[in-house]
Amino acid sequence: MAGRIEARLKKLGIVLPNPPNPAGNYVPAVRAGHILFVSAQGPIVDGKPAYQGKIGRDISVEDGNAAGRIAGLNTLARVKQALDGDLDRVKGVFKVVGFMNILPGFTQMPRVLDGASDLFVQVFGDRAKHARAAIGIAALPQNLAIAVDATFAVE
Amino acid sequence: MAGRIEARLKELGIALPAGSTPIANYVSYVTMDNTVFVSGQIPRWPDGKPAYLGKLGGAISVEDGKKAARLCGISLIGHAKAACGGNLDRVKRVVKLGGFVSSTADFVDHPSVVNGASDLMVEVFGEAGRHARFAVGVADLPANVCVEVDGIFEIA
Repeated sequence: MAGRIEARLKKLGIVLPNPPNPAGNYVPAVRAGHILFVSAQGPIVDGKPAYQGKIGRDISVEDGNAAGRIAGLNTLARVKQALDGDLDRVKGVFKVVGFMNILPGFTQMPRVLDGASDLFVQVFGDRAKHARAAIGIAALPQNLAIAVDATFAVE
Repeated sequence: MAGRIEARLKELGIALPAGSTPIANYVSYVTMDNTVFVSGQIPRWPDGKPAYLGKLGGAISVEDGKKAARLCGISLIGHAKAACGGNLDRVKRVVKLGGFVSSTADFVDHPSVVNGASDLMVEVFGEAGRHARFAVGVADLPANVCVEVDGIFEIA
């Protein structure tokens, strides 16, 4: 299964994590036709929240960006799992929605969510350029800083 | 059209609503090939009035939030039924739910609230009801309801 994308990950020095278990009565990803819907992923490392709190107050924009990247890595791990280990079957990224834990007044959501968006483009190239929504919300499960919800085109 | 899923709904004592009319310039669902996208549904009492008003972390308990999410789920199934021409046996899979929970800034138990809708899907559709999901906390929702859930279904 060590294909083109696996080689790319290795070149980038990226090791996909063991993604966290779902936090409720849902599954990590569901495929409908050629669309893979991945459940929202947070910045969780080895089962523990890595970034908690409000971006802009407890967490800097730079750290928020790093949190977005971790959420993106967990997303990719779920995609790989859903595709029986073969990331070469990813044809593109349709859409990324980033929910960021903020207080009213914070406006730097795009820079934060770039942590996930940049990762997807680094790994898959231009075909991973996606539509996106970056929004600030009132609160997140476990007080996570960000949750990334992504939809992929798959073979 | 009284099929397998209708029998299951009856067994669970669930009556689907007639279907709410969108409150603005949108439609309740859109079908693209075999995928149905259902607009966000808010909890409503049988008479159509918005139910469970307030915020999680405030006036609404997690238990009540969960009941509210279940009502959202019942409305989602009602619209899925319409999208299936009345035959819910055509639902192949509940693909995804999106849960928006009206939250105070320090509330963190969104997954338990949205489980009200998720549990319903599994009760009604079994394995085919197991879906992808997000659950997030938002500042405010229409009519001051405590939760809103949207859904994606795959149909035959």
